[in-house]
Amino acid sequence: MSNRGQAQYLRIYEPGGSDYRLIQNFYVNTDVTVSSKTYSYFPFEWSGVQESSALSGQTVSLRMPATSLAINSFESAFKEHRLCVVSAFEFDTRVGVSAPQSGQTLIAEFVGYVSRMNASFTELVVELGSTLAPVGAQIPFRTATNELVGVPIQL
Amino acid sequence: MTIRITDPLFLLSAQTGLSVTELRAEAAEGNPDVNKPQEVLQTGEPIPILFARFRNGSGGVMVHPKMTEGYFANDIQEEEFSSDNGATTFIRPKQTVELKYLLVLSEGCLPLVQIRDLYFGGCRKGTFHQACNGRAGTWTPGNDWDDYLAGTIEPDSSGYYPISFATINPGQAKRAGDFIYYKDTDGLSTASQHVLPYIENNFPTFCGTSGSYDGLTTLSFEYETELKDGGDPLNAMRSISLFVRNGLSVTRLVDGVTNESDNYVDLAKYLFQSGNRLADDLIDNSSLTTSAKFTDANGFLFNGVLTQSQNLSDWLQATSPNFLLRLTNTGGKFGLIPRLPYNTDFTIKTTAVVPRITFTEEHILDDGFQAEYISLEDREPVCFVVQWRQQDEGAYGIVRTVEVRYEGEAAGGPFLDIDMSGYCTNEDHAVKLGTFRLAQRKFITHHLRLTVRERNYNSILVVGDLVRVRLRRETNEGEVAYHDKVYEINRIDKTFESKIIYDLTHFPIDSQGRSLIARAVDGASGAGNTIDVGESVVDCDENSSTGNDTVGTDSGGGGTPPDSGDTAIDIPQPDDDDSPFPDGPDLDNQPEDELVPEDPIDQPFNGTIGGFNGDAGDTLDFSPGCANPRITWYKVDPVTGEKIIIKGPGVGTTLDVVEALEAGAEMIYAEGCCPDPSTSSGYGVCVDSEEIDLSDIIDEIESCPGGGDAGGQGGSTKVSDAGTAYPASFTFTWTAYVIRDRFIISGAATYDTGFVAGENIAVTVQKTSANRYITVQVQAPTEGTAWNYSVGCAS
Repeated sequence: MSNRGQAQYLRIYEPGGSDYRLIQNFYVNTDVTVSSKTYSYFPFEWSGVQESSALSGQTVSLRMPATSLAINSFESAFKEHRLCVVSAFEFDTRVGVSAPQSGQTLIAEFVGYVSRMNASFTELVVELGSTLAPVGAQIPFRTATNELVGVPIQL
Repeated sequence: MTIRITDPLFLLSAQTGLSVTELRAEAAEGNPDVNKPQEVLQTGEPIPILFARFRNGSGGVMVHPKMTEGYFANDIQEEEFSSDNGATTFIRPKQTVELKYLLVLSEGCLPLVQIRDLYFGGCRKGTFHQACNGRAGTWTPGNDWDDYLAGTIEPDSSGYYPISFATINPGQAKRAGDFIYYKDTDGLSTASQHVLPYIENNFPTFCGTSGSYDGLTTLSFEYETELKDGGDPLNAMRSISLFVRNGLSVTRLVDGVTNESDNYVDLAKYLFQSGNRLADDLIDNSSLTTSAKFTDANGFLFNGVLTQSQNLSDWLQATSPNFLLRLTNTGGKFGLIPRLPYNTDFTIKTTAVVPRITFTEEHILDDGFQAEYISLEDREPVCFVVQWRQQDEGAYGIVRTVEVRYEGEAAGGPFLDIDMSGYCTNEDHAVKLGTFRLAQRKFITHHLRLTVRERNYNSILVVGDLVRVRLRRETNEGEVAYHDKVYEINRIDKTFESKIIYDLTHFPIDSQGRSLIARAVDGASGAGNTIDVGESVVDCDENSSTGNDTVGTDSGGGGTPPDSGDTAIDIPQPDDDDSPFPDGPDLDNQPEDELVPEDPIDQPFNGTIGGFNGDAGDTLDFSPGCANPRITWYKVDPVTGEKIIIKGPGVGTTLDVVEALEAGAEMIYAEGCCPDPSTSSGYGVCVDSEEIDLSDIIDEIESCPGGGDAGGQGGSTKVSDAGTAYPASFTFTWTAYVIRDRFIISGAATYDTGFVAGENIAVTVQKTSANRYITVQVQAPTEGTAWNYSVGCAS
């Protein structure tokens, strides 16, 4: 039997950088504190992350019940372009599972915006990613506009 | 259920840049184009990004900035000659053209350009001013051609020009037809009278309006030159060329100094950040810093200009391998990592490498080992033709090519071009890149996908790390072999389901554990010679070709820019958020018809029975809405609700109320079925009619005994109550007097007197059912007849 426990933490930022929502999915119905941040319990599932030099797998998915808390939090994050950080920590369950351990190890972390959401009436799936996408990522990014150069000379 | 799809392993070669996509054969990007006419920056065209740093006698880039505004005018200038050391002089007038360009150099602010680096055509000429965040130069765009003329002489009625130099003052010129009549400033003799050919104005009349030039570096050029006889003035519009020693200013990752840079990674970070493409939190500064130091230490530098609009991700994917870098996305953060091992000073490491960990049978799960060998097209011996740019100081860059191949291989091709001439100014860089590509093809043989159980390495290993895979293989009894190789991690898939998937690329090493590719790249270098470019020395410079003097900084001129209201519209932020419907989510009080309109298709069928007027003599019909329906009539037991057929089924069957009463019905309804040839019965779905209550009719029927009737010619039909007893009989008493009449009983009993005559004739009639109602029909066709009858109770 494995003694390996993994807890996942989600942090949604306010646009100014303060915390908008802090949730974790391991310590049931308990508020826990990690790195001076208090995370409340919410049963979301982070299905995995891909770290790559191939520029594929640039998103991660979070799955959760479509409660008012979840919908309000992520609709807001979606609309306001709030930055989200999801982290997975690993720890020895034999040492205790009632509160986060000081020696737990960060095994994965992903930073991104809410890039996509889909839902049934009972389940919400949130995709985190970033916007280095084909649209809006052209270089050079400035073009000759009327504001910048007026009406150019016509030869 | 979650479905996880991992890219097939065979794609890894392409995804990691191991495969080389052969370019279409076309001119190298860095080829110079010196004597072309000046080009115009058109609306919507990308603003160039100049990124260069001239250092150690190398670097920089020659560019041809495009113009947005122009000014054009002509004049006559006097040139004084003497053949006797000034004792006597004479004047030669020459026609000149005045050219002024406003050029857009780059986005961002560039350091002031040196005068020696500016060319008009192929020569250093003209006056230049430079500005950032605004318009350089103080002149106004326009076309003032012929404005210097004092007048135009028109032909008289005979078609002759009435030319008289007496009417032309010294220093003045007048046009007459195709000639200019000019009196020079001496104006003393006929020697001061000059006739010159008229030169047509071919310059633009739409000369530009100016703009804000916000965030751009602009350059103003002013120059006056002689127009040769018969020459097209447009030929004077040579293009401006500029040797950019120092390009865009950025904060350099290597030393933290904010200034020009030639580091590709600095450029990548600038492109990540510019235009708010990526938040700082999404940029992997650690890997970028490492990569910046790697490229700096090994001389993989960027001196070029970005002018073609392209996708940033595509551009990074295409160019990063040329700097021996790999674009990464780790934890959502974009970064770059070196493709070769490096020392602490970030030079290429040619000593033994040390894998971070060793995977053995203990770690690998069942079916957790998958190898994919690199295909033939990616391993075939080739010759790489790397194009780079010999960029001499202050001169046009010359595209150089270097062919890199292994001895004895691919002497006649195939040739694979790698065009780095747009930004690579270092021969060693080109040679090392060619060698790197070549060594990859020669030494890297396969990829590996390992699925391993979760262990503490899930927090230790990152993309780019080296790992050793050592697995014992026993193919024959007593024969043990090992798969023992070093790999580079290309992809890590953490599933959080007790397993981790590593996609690895073979990392070839020699017997001492040294990277074969790194050693090949480190040992490769160019000849280091400068190729003679065949330039003829024609000294046409009017400006100095030496010294570090920079251009002027006059600014503020220009035309009339468009009003900001015509070029940008700021839509006000909405005050309201999306909200529920104003009457709130509680729909209990909502009228039902306001929720969803009634859909007639979904409503129950409300077919009504026709012909019912509340009278016992009514004949009823029913239509379900189609032709020739099959109709069945039912009575409904008021106590049990049981439905019993009283008539039908039959096509279009009708029902007399008396029939219903005789059948003992109090409530009736009809079932109608429309024809449907597709069904076995020939009829489709059946619909029921409303129910009809016959109790009012029944109430009007006298209870037995007491039923009866009387009348004359014409007769009658009437329902009477004969009682419920059964088997039983009742007494029917009739009177027809002398004229014969006929009495017919139907329903719960059957009797027919035939046409009879008599008075108070009582007959006993047997009931035929337990129903209580009988119908008595009296047929009395004869005039003057009279009749009556009574019905008794059955017993």
